[in-house]
Amino acid sequence: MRLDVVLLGFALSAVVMISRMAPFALLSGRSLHPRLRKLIEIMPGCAIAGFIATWAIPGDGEALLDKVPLWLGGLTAMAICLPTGRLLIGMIAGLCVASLSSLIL
Amino acid sequence: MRKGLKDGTTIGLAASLLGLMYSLAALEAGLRPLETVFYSAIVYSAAVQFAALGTENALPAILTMLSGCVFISSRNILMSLDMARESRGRLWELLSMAGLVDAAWAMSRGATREDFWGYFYGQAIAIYILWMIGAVAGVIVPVPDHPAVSAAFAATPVVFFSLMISLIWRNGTNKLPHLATMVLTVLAAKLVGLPATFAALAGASVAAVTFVLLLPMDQTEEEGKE
Repeated sequence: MRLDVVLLGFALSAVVMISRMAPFALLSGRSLHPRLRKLIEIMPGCAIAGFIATWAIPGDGEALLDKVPLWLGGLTAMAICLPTGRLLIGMIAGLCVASLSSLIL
Repeated sequence: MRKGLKDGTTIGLAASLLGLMYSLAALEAGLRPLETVFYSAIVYSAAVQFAALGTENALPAILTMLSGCVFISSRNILMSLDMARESRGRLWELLSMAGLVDAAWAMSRGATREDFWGYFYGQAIAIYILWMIGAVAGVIVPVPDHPAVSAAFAATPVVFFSLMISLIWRNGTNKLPHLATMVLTVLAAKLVGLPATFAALAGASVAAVTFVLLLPMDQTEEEGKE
């Protein structure tokens, strides 16, 4: 393995692991104001929703139609997982719909 | 813990697809097979690993990429803070945060208080093992070069995170701040012109803070006592 790749890997790992462990270590066992507690509870879901939106909207040089398969795939997965909780079926069905619709559109 | 392993295996199969997809993209970007597996083993964050692909060796480029990864990892900070509410002060709980991925967090939200940590450990282990199997498969198994396969790989992050949101919603979390975040993110990226990652975080922050401030204090306190 190349040294620069290894060093970059460790740097990335440090960023990720600090972001996962440091907040836990800092907040563990402390009592919080109810509003702050509620904010902490809903913020991760909001961040995930935001990232979904960034992936599902067209970037520079992309048309709206290019992203339609992603929407259809995501919506299919949600339509299966929300009522049933079946993750694997949702994943497979979502990917199948996305790939088939990309061939059609 | 057994239930965590079982549930983690289900979502881990989906995570293995992400691992496979990363390996294929990394090989195409010029990483060697062993380096690709090394990244998946120690970084263990698909979003960060994808962001780092193709980075040049110049220091400014590396610093720019690392700052972008800090932004992307900000949701880890939020999930870690949320997990700290369940802490009983044990060292194992802190160490297990190394396996705090979106799927593990989203599924733990629905776990019972009594077996919260056993459930989390079980699924964190299962997801990591299957992620690595996917990553290794990506460097050794030939994948057919077909537009349908490429489209499935391109859709994997959106489908995966759609499942995460579904899991959170199934646990009874209010959908309103999440839907508001999506709208605000699109507006921030397309109308204001903010970079995509920053737009997502700005949208999430505005939606979440507004929601919590508008929520009646009684409701917030009752939920806090549960």
